[in-house]
Amino acid sequence: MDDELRALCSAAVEGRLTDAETQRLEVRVRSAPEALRFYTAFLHMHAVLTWNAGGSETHPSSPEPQQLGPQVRTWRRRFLVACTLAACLLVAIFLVRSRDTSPVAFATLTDAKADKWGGGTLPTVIGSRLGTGRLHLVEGLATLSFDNGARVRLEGPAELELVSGSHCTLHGGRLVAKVPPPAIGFVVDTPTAKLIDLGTEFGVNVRDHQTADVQVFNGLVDAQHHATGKIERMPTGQGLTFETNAVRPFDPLMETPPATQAPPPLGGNRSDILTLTTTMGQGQDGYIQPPVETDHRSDVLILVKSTRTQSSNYNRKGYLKIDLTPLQGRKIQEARLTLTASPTGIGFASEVPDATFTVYGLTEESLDPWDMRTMTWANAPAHSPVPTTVNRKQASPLGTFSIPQAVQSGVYVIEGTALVDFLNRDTNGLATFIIVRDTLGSGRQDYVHGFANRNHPTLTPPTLKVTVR
Amino acid sequence: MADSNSETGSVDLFVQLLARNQQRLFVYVRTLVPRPDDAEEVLQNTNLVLWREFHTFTPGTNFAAWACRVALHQVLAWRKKRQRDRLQFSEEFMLAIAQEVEDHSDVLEDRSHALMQCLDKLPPAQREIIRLRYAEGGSIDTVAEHAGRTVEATYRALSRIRQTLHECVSRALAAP
Repeated sequence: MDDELRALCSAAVEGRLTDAETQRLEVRVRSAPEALRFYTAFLHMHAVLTWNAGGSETHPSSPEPQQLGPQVRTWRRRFLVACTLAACLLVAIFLVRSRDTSPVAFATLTDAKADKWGGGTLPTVIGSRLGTGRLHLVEGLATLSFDNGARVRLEGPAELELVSGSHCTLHGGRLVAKVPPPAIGFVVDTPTAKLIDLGTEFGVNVRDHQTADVQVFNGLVDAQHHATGKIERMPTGQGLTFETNAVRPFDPLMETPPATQAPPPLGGNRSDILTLTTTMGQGQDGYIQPPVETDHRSDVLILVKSTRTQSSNYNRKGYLKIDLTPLQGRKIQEARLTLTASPTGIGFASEVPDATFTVYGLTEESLDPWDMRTMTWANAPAHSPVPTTVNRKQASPLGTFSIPQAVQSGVYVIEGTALVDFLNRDTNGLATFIIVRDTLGSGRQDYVHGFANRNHPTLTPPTLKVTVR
Repeated sequence: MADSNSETGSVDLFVQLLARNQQRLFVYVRTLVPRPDDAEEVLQNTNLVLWREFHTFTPGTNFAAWACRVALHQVLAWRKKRQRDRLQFSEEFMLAIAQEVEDHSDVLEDRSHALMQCLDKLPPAQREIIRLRYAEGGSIDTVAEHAGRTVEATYRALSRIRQTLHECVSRALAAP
């Protein structure tokens, strides 16, 4: 290496570089890889020498080790002191952390009902302290209490960003804010308007991430429209819709469910749509299970399970019978069978992956007059001892649906030509459906799925909806 | 309870990993920031951030690499802060050095082992100058005073010795 670079490197490690030399060194180092290599190695050597305090530490053969006395290890000691301080700090941070999840927390998640959370950046356990970050509530209700007294109730699905102790942004979904006098000035921002609470209770619904419906239940809110900057002072009872470029009076009819949320309605006139359930006529429903002593039974749910375990005693298949008498002589054009899932509390959801279910139609009509009170695992129509199937000579598959892992609620539907054809081929006025879980659980107390039956106090029983000509 | 146990466990693990990698981290920061006081400030900040972000570290992965990344970030933040006070190397320069250290970490590791042998080969007078300079952590002035030389003479001597060491190390690595 040339003398200039050497001189510059020496000056660098001794802190002697002038501004001009700093610039010159940068130019030299960045213009040639060898210069970069030399500079780095030189600085690295200086650092290693500093760490080892001249190497006397690792070299007891060094001439005057004792003479080095207190000076040896200077850097090491200093660094260790720094580490110790850091360790003390750690304990302090740890103590603070065990109380507050975030050092700058300003709100608490005080309540959550039927809550299901998506990927956010904040904790979602009740009692969690919350700082800045995002909450994504998929389902249910969650209450956030801000330290200044403001309370925000979030309704899933919703996406809320906590900005500060007096400011949050609702990106989508609904919330109700209650702001007592000490928290006056609390801000709820939305994509189209900024709501400044002047001591009140108000609701806001952000639709499609681009329209905010604001309703003041009680008190006073200043709402500033982003596009125009205009402030609307909203008193009790007023409702306004803030669109990107316009503000108009709130119209509840605008609140239509998004098209993706439900399957499209069946076609035809209303008079041609018939709804049949297992509660009507000769309808029945229930499930079969091998004869075994178990408390895991239900009077209000149709239980379904297929498991990997050696003893298949805990398998269950669902049976539905729908009385088709009202359809007599009419040609069915469309059909939809709906099942409402509900948590059973039996088994571990984590032991069943995403599950697929198949609904079979009983084609052997002579077996339709089954009775739930006398039907057993062995004598059930189209029975197969294999948990994931049925006797395919007596029944054929009509459709499938899937339930993601750990989801225990929701409405599940089968529809299509197989179902329509099956219903049109009926000659005895009775349709039997068999529900089987195609997906095997682990066998380690895996979850038993459940669907509301005809006796369920609140949920809809298995329902067949058809359009006829 | 389970939570606090796992917190304690993570403190233990953190202190253990930091202790095991402190030399590496020190040398890394010092290579990028030669001034002692500046380097110390950067290291303190690095330690803090390492702890604060420790939950994002995946146990079993390379702690040293992660720590160096955090340190580099702190070096750049410190550079930006200090930019107003005095002329600094550019961010690109710092990144180039950091990249060089990362790309040749094994060579640099070999060099620091060879350095110890090269130190032993120094004549006693030179070794004494190095000892005074580094063990003191001190200035040229102090070394000059102890060695009974002028400051300029000491500076030149130190430059020569570093040159000798650098060449000795390079030869040692080049040898088969």
